[in-house]
Amino acid sequence: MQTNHKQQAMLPDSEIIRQILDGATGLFRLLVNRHANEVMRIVGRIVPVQADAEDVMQEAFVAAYQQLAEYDARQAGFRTWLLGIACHKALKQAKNASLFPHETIDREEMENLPDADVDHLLDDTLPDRLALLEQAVTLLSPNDRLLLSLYYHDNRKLKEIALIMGCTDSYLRSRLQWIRKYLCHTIYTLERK
Amino acid sequence: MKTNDRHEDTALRRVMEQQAQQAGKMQLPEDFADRVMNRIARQANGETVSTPSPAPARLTHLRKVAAILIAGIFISGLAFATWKLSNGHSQQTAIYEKAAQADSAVTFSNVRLDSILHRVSRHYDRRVRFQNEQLREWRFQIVWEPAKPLADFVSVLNEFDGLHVSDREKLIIVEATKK
Repeated sequence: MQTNHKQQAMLPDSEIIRQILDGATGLFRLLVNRHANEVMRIVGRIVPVQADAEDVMQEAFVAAYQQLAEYDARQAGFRTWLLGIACHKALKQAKNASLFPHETIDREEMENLPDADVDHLLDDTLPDRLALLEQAVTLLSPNDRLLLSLYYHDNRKLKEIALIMGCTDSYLRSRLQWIRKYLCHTIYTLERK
Repeated sequence: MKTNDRHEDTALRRVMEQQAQQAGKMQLPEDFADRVMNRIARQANGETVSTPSPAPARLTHLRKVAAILIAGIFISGLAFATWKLSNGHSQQTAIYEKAAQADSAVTFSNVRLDSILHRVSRHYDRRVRFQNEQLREWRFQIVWEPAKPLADFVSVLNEFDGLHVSDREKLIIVEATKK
């Protein structure tokens, strides 16, 4: 019996999913144990309150269980698919809780910022500039913060982030450019204050 | 500055790393998997476990194993049980299964006998036959230890008045006994 348990623990996600769909529903526990920490790592960045993050996690796993038959391994790995569900729920929670402030910006001024200035500013690691950048990041929407986190911290490819966030990678590419300019514009604005 | 079609953005990268590290301090409770499995069970609304959006062809089969919720759990110990006969189908008490710890005994709380045996039989690779259909609706508060032999669980069930369970040739037979 112990051997059987060990063998199950070594099964690839795809095989576990096949067995769950064939009726061995208890095996879903293996998937929870296997992926919960990674999902929590990402959800925690969007929902900073531990209890809320746990709630989101539970909802995400229950939803994943219920939608398991819809999972298509050809489109994405199970973890990526699961992260998509979890991030969607976490972003919804973050928006409901109004965890981010809304700022009005001068779009024209922002759009006209030279790319060289943006590159320079986002490379600047002087403490004062870093503090302003940190402040600017907090003004972003949860979606944008998640994008930055997945892109800069996790070094994920835009194609994978697109699967997680439920959009196209070309949109994310242009969104990244917008965010970079927004951050620089905000830093300049904060410096002027 | 760009490397490999990716902006370096050293400062921004550092800020995002700091934020991610703060979030990384969150720890999931040890029984998180139990909570998820219990929540799935509670949503089942009755004696069957909700299934992962099964295709119609799978539905019948899945119902047969609907009581299976938690994977094989392997810690030894003694089983104990109390039982409660409910008012049958007039009550829609949801299945609530709780494993005290991951990989430990499974507690069935006020769960129909047929659901319990579906799950147990799956674990031991048995089929179940009810000689008396009414016995399906009996509800039990009982602890099952999957690491123990089926005979142990059968003997616990046989402690209850009015019920006789036997394990014969890959078949769990459930009968009523005269009081």
